[in-house]
Amino acid sequence: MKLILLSGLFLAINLFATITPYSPVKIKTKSALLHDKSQSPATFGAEPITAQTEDNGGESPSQTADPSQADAKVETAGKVMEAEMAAPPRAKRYTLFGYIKNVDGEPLINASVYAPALSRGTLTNSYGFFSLSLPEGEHQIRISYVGYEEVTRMVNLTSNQTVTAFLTSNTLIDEVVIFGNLNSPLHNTQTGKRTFSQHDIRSEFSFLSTPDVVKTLKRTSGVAEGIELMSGLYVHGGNNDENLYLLDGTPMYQVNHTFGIFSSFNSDVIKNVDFYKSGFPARYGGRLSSVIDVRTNDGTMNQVKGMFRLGLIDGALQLEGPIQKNKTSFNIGIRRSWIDLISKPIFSMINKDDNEDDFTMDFMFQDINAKLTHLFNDRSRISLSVYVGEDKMSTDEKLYWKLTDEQYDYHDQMKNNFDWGNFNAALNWSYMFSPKLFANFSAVYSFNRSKFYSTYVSDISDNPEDNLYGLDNADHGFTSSINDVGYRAEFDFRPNPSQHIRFGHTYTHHLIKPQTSYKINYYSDQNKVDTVSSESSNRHLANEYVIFAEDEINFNNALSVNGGFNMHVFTTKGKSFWGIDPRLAFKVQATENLTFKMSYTKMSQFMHKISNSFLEMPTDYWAATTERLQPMTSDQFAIGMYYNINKNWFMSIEASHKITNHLLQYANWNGLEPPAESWDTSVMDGKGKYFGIEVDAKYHAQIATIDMSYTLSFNQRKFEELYEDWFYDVFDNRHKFNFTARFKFNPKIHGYVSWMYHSGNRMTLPTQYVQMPDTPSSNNIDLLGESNYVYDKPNNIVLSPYHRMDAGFDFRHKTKRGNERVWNLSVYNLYCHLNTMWVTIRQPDKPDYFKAKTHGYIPIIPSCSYTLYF
Amino acid sequence: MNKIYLLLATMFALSSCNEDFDIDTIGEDPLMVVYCFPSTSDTTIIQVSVSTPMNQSIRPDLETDISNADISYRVNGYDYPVIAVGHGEYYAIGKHSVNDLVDILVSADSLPSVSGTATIPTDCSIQLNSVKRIQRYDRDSGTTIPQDQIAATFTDVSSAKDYYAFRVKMRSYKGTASAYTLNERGEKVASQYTKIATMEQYLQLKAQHPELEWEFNYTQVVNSYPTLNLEDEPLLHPINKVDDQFGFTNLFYQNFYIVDDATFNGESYTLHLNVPAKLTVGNFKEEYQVEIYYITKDFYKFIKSINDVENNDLAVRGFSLVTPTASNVTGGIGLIGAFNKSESSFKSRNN
Repeated sequence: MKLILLSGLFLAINLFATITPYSPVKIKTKSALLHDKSQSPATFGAEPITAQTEDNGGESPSQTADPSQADAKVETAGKVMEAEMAAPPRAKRYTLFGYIKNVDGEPLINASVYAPALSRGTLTNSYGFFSLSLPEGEHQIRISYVGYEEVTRMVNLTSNQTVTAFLTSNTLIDEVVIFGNLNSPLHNTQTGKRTFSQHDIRSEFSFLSTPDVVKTLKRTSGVAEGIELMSGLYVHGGNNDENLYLLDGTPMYQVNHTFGIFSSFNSDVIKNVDFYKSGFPARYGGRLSSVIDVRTNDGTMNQVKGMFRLGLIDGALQLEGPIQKNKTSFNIGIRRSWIDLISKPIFSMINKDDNEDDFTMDFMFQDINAKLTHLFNDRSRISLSVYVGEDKMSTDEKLYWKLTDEQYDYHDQMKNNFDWGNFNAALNWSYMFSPKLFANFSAVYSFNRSKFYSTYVSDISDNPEDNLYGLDNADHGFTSSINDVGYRAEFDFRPNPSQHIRFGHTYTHHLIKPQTSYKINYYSDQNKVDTVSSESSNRHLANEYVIFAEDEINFNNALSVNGGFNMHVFTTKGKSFWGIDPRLAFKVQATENLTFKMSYTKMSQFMHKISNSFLEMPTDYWAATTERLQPMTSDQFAIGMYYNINKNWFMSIEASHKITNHLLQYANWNGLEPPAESWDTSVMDGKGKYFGIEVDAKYHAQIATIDMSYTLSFNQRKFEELYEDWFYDVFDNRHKFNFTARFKFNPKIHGYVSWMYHSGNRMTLPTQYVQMPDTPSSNNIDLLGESNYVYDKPNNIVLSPYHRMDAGFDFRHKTKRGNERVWNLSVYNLYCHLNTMWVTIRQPDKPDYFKAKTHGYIPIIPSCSYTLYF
Repeated sequence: MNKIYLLLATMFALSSCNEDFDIDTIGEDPLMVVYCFPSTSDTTIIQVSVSTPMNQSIRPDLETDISNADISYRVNGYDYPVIAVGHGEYYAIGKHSVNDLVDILVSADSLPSVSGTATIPTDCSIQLNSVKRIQRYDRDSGTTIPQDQIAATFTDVSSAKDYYAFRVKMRSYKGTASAYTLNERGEKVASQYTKIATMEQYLQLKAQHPELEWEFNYTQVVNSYPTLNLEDEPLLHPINKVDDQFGFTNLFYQNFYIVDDATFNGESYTLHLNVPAKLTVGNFKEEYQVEIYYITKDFYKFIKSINDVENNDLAVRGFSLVTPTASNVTGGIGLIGAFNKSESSFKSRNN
């Protein structure tokens, strides 16, 4: 019913939008004509810009409110229909379209193209493309992008014009572009969106001097950090598996390196990160709580560039450049940890003097991002983006002992190996069908795997004959994987200045193989040999079809609406789930500097991460909704106020309320790896509710940028099978305050400091100590109950508040060859506050009071890195 | 330079020890603790004690027993007599039948009253199919050790969600066997084979001398509920060696092996339960009996909640969710857990 009402409301609004500009105009279609196109050049930007015009008669002049025109033409899917109007005619409109790039030819996402006299503007899409319809005549056009010099030029629009503008980076000025930045929350209908450029991510504090996307996102308001350094992203009260990570449009399932200390996103190749916490556009779906749309650089089109970085535990190399100048480019980034190169000799030295116990641990991670881009012409481009990431960890413990009074030698060896990672590939072809219609077609493949295997060998041999007396060998392993293959077709249509329509279709085929396991044990002693082996595998197929459409309508300078839907069908094991998730957002711009917004979104999720802990474990696996369960859904309302106080200060207040249904919680806490063959019988169905208020303030000046945020949030869960009432989530951090400052003391020294404070995580401690029962018959046979703890409401205590300060400096130097080298010094947890991770209860040996002991382990961690840009 | 030293000194001074946690923040009042397990038997034991909140001093069990409680025990609305037997234990006397509704209300000085209900569930049965000797490797001793594997089959009572518990009762016999013959008058005449002390010897002689009659002199019969080796029973053994290393165990409270019917709903299932031979205490023979308890959902949830906490170190450290103790009494803590118990016949390896 709610859906019908919303759809009806949206249709009514759409109808209103279509009619209002022309009312009481009566439009009558006279004929449909196809027009030839011609082009004329123009210049723009720092470099001579390529600007081309399309002939007036060539492309779709549409209706405007110019009374001098009796007839006008309306564009429909590339064909132009002439419309006769009974009302006073309007000026002809033409479309200014093209690409915004930096001077190296890299398309810029979310760059603003703005005509201030008309208060009309638009943003570039993920491929740097924009399209803006304007009345015939001369216009001042401002093109801007944060961190780049703004370009202002006059354009005499007498026909459709194509423009490619090249902006110059200006890290010294770096003024925030408030009035011309249409990506500013002031100007769009989007609530809960944050955009981060590569510069943003690199100029923040970075743990172990390695910039990281997920760490940056954790500092934003409305996001809970989870367990320090160990767990994922918890957005608006959601769980860690409710975030849609997209790398160049390809979904990623496991985004952690080193058990969550780093993410899989290499900041060296990242161009832009759009982070959505609420008001999700209709083109996104499949996760409940957030969307993280990460786009990588195409690679420079005119010169080879690169960087090399050596950090405390990892190193990175990035190269980009043209293969064919201004036509084909490449971009490749490689990271690898090198801690394993020193851990082996270190453990070798440690074990040198211990003949009885050898322990070694190896760890490494590596990833490669590669992208090839080819421009066929101004209308058509193709790119291939590939990501390969891998983590490996192994432990090896050998024990050897010989008892003096025995004639046997004993050997024990226990080896554990973890191996997990992703392979993602996306082939994108984008094509501009017309100045108003841009399309992108993608074929995507995503592969995620996690593997664990262990070997235990124990043998006893005669001494000194060395005859094998007894042997115990146990091999055990698990492999889980997901293969996703799919395509995505999306269209970006701007029929008139007031409307921006996106629509498309995606299909994904999931092949999920959780927990292919094997176990081989063989034992032998002097006389007997016993071999036990078992293998099992699971294989599930699922198909996901999505159709989406959204329309952003600007009624006037004050009122805008974005409405749409995401319709999905998910089939698995012969059962189909389908639904329509409506999306609706309003913007009311009260003044030039003050905007109010509201949004409603419904999201559905069919893929679940099965885990028995809050840690990022490689033993976690993903599974699709089964016929016994319902897909998870969420309804989120958000309202916000956005105020541009002056040229330096900007602030916003957002409130959001989210209701989540069919949340899943693993119910059997026996074992780290819930059995895949019956996982859906071992989960509880529950609900979640979240309410949060987020206050963000940003100060931007030449010498300093300061971001401050405060979040007040309430995050609750209800699993009736577990506890009859609502209880607070483990990451219900009531208050969160974050302060981040970036300073540019001079061109050579940049500094940054951040301070984070939040209410402690929750955990469950016993409330009572009681005699345990004697179960039936047990009192007859000496199985008497002992006293033990009673646990009541889950997450009944709040750990001590978490706070931490991080700081660092970049020392920059230009070499004689024109390269730039950067020394980074960073300190994590500057004042070494050992934040409590958990509390344990100590039971006294004799009649006395219980004691509580807190546990916190993460101390001050200094780090440094050296980066050379060439 | 002095400033640097000062900064460093301040920094490490701030590297404080672990923070304090005030245990009083958990503080609650003492509550009455009541356990009662009604079944179809004549006598129902009720245990009553008082809890110790975490902010109070721990006390010996004897001091927490409540032996002067006022208990109302009603079955289908009729009062049953309740007798105090000391140490916080009470007996409710009276016959129960399937589907009887039990209401209990317990009051004691200065504590909130506690009440709860349970319905006696229907009966079910289990068949002990076989007992056979197998070899399984024992990591503790580094050798293969013999185990008695018990195969027992039962059928799920209904297609609805059902809950069961199992126990294996082991009866160990200490004693001897002696052979005799019968004379013409039917009198026993002792043979040369007397005081045979092991089952193996007895079986060997019995095979060699089928004409002999045997009598057994058991000096001691010991009943016990051994801790089972569950490696061969996937229903009761969800963890593996990886889990061991992350602090997961697979212990069952008081060897009361609970399961739900999620994986065998409406079907028959055969359990494979191993009893390590080292747990046997008889010198002559062991007999086994499998007990099946058809238990209420509340009963299952309570025992499971105890097991969950005991078996999950990660939860105790806050890295996964703790299962709350699933009390089903109002006003206090405890369990009114009804059950219906059936037993298989006794069986040893040799029959």
